[in-house]
This record gives sequence, structure tokens and C-alpha cells, in this order.
Amino acid sequence: MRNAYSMKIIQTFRRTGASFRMQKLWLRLILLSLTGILLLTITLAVMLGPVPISPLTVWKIILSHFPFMGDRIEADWSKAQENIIWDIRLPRVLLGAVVGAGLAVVGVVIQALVRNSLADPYILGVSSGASVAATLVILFGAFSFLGQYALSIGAFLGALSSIAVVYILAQVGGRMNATRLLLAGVSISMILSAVTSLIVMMAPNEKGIRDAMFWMMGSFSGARWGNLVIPGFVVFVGYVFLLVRRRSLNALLMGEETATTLGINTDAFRKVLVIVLSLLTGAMVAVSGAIGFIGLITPHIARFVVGSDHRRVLPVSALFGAIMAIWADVLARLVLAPQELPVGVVTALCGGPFFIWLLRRSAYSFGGGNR
Amino acid sequence: MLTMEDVSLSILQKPIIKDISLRVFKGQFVGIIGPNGSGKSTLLKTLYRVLQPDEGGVELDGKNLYQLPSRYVFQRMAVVSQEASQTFDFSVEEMVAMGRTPHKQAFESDTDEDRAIVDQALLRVGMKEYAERSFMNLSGGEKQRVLIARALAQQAEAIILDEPTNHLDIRYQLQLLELLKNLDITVLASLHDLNLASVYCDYLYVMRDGQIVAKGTPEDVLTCEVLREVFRVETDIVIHPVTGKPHVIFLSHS
Repeated sequence: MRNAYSMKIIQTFRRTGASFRMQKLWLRLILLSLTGILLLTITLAVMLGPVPISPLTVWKIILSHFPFMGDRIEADWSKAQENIIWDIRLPRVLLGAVVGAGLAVVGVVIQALVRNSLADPYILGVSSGASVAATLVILFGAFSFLGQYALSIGAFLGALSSIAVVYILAQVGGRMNATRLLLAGVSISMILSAVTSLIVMMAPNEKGIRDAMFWMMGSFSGARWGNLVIPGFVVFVGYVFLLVRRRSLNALLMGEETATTLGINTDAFRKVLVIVLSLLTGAMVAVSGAIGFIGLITPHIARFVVGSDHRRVLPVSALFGAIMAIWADVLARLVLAPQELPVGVVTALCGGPFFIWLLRRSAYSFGGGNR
Repeated sequence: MLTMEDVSLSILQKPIIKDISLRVFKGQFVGIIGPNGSGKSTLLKTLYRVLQPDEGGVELDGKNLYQLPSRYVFQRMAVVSQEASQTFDFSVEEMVAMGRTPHKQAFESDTDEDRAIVDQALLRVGMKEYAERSFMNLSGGEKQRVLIARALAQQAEAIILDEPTNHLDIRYQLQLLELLKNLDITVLASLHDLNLASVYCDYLYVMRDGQIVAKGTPEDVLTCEVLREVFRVETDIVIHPVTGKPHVIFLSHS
């Protein structure tokens, strides 16, 4: 009897003692396979298009641009192929990856910040501020002294000014409250989207209206190496910062009081988060418009797979987001070729049904309590 | 190790607690009792830094609590509050691992030592087998035990609990208090059940209208006069033959 009891204890001990290690292995496996899928996705996305190019050529061209590799690879491709791959398709695919990953990461953190599973990167009004500025640029040529960067810089400034207003409104007595932040964001968004509609209504020409609509739905068609660097850098730095603060993010999910009693200065941390997230989202919206849905659903997919711990959710969502955004853009390019769809239309049309499928499964609670 | 000296706090000009002085010594199990709205939660909140007192001093090991770095404080003091709202689900193990937060620098990763501490904490509250279960799907009693394990993983010398036995069946109430009693650390808890407080606490503070109206051992404090004044109930108090502690029998309203 006693022996059986101690055996059971030892077994239990072994099983649960192994759980941390198992989790680590599981996470590594997932990250490795997602990275593999991402590389495959990038290859395929660059191959696909009106001019088909073999995967071997794709990688040769890409690798030939790396330092020390260029000389070792024999150039057996045409100048046109090189142009298509290196100057047109690759930057576009990479921009998709950067923005997809960035939106997913921002989505994860914003949901933790406002402790609401419905939050997405635009809930604090970033996209609505950017839209006002972008429509002004597209329809009325505002900021024209900035030349080809007028749209990006205008959108970025618009995003930051709207978030600044939300930030100020959300503070009472110097403290920031999650619900107030959410409601301030929603109301500023409403006001600004009304302003955007007004601007579009007063537009002087039809084509401009279509361009503005297209921008608002989001697109990677403006991708060039030149405008990839800033969002790439911002997303990378932001991601590293958030990963470093993963414990604080976890604690924030426990609620204000608990987070405080775990040694976190919640008020200061919230404020820093709002600033970091706005910069991230602003930089992305500036180059690609407001692409919906990725920032809302990828965090849930990631949590469904690896649980809520940010140490795991952040990298997994980033990879998921990148993969999804690239495929959405491939579809946007190819479905009605040579016509192009806004990528936001694709993410919503494909992501929506998938999200509903996930919603119907009971194993994941979406942050709504028990089941 | 924890002291409050003439602490007063008003919220929106309304005084919530007044001239509170309180002392918790190392290893003691101290209870706070009092009717609803008497200021128990507020008192505890000023002790764990969620609310700042308007007047008076709060000290941890002889140092001003509000001037200590937050990580320092919560390496020494853990809290199980009433805040129960959960947004996203965590496994039991992850919940307990959060107790390591005040001990970790941002760039540090979790070490084997952290894992051993988490394991040990789960073992002490008897929740080892639940390590991989989802926290949300646990019963109320199990959740409280996990939260206590988190406090243990914090390796604090003192635990503050705000009505830890609320919403628990009597069996779990007893289990929980038994667990706390046997943990061999300093405990400060607000409690509803006078008889449980009598059995488990070494020292009791009685609150009414934001003030401490009586303090002392259960034998000193749990008297017909005090309970009549504080809770407005008529009682008969006997020394229970098994526990050797005062046992309160409620008679009727006065």
C-alpha cells in the first residue's frame, strides 16, 4: 500500500517535473516549423506572378546580393528576372512579412494592455488618424513638399497625433486606466473616421476616391527597399523590447492590482506600452495602410496553440502574422490579375471564416472566462 | 515586520480608514475581522501599496514602505487579493511561475532554480498534479491554493490575503486556513468567519467604520460586548472543548 503510494508520487513528480522541458521542446518545434514555413512562403510568394520564375533562380538571385556570396554564384539569369525578383517582388514580400509580424505582435500586446480579447492594433485610433492624413494627401495633395514620401510621413504624423489625443484623454489624475484608454480610442476613431468620410465626400475626382479607399483597405504595392528599412527596424526593435518585458506583460493580464503586487509599476508600464505600440503601428500604417484582421486573429491563433505566456505567444504570433500577410498579399495580387485587390479585403474574407471556425471550437476561451 | 502607525486614508474626501495602528510580527497569523464596509480591504491595500495613505507611516522591516523599490517590497511580501477577473487562461504552472516576477531582471531567463521553486511551491499546496491544468477550469478552492503557491514562489516572508475564504465551501475554507497555518510564514488576512478566525489566528484586529476598535488574542477580542458593538449581534461565547478556543454562537439581532 505504502509502496504503491510512493510510486504514484514519484510518477507524478517525474511527469510534471518534465513539463517545463516538454514545453520548451514543443515551443522549439513550433518555432522551427513556422520558420521553415515562412521561408517556403517567401520563396513561393516571390515565384508566383505573371512571370513565373523557378525557386532555384529565386534563391540564387537573392543570395547573390549577400556580401561575399555574390562572386561565388554564377549569374545564369536575365536582367529582367533580376529586376522582377530583387527590385519588385522581394521587397513586397518582405514588407508583407514585416507588417504581418508587426501587426500580430501589436495585437497580442494591445489585448494584454486593455485586457480585452476584442482589441486590435487600431483600437486606440492609430489607423483613423492615419486615414485622415492619407486621404488629405491622396485627394488634396497635402504635404506635397515631401514629394514621394508625403503619404507615408503624412499617415505617420496623423497616426501619432490621434494617439496623442487618446493618450491624454485616457489619463485622469495622472493615471491611465485600461477601460478609459479603450473608450477614448474608440470615440476618437469614430470621430476621425467621420472626418475621413467627409474628406472623401468632398473629393474633387473619382479616381482619387478609389485610391483613397484602396489605401484605407491596405496594400503592399508601394514596397521598395527604400521604404522597407524603417518599418523593418521599428518592428524589430519593438519586438525585442516587448519580448524583454514578457513577464510584465503576463503580470498585466492578471489585472492592475496583482501586477502591482508582483513588483510592476503598472501605470508607467502602460504608458510606455502605449507609446511603443503607437510607434510600431504608425510606422506600419504609414507604409501599408490599415490592414485589418491580422492583428486581431493571430494573437488568438497563437494562444490557441501555445497558451497565454508572452514568452511563447510573441514569437509564434510574429511568425504566424508574417506568413498570413504574405499569403494574403499573394492572393490579392493573383486572384483578379492584372487587377489588384486591397490586401485588407483578402485578410478579412479569408481570415473571417477561419476565425469563426476557431470561435466554434470550445477548447479556447478567447479570454471570456470559463469556456 | 509590518507596522502601520496612525494611518488615515480618504477617498473622494470620504474617510475610509482612520488612525490605524497595526503590528504584524514575524511568524504570526494575524486576522482582521469586521463587518462589510468597515475598511478591511482598504487597510490591506495601503499595506500592499495599491493605495497610498494620506497620513501616517507604513513600514516593512523598519523601513518606509513607500520609499522602497517595488521589487524589493514584493520579494518580501506576497498578496492574494480579491481581484479574480481573468482575461486569458494560463496553466497552473505558468500562474505560479509569475511569482518569480519580482526576482527577475528583464533580460534574465528562467533558470532551473526558478523551476525548482515553482515545483516546490506547487508541492507545498498539494497542487503538483495540476501543474499543466488550465487555471480557469479549477474550482474556487483550487484557484486559491494556486494563488498561494504563487505567493510561495515569490519566496516572501509574509503573505497578505484579502478574504481568502470567500466563496469557498467550508471544507475548502478549513483546508486553506490549515495550509496557511502550516506554511510557517507570516500571514495577515481579513476573514469573515469569526469561529475560523478564532481557531487559526494568533492575534486579531477588529474594525468598525474604518477604525480599529479592539485588538488582542481571540480570547481577548471575541467577547459578547465587542461583537454586540461591532457586528450588532447577540452572542453566546463558549470555550470549545476540542479547539480550546472561543466559539461564537449567534443568538439574534439586538
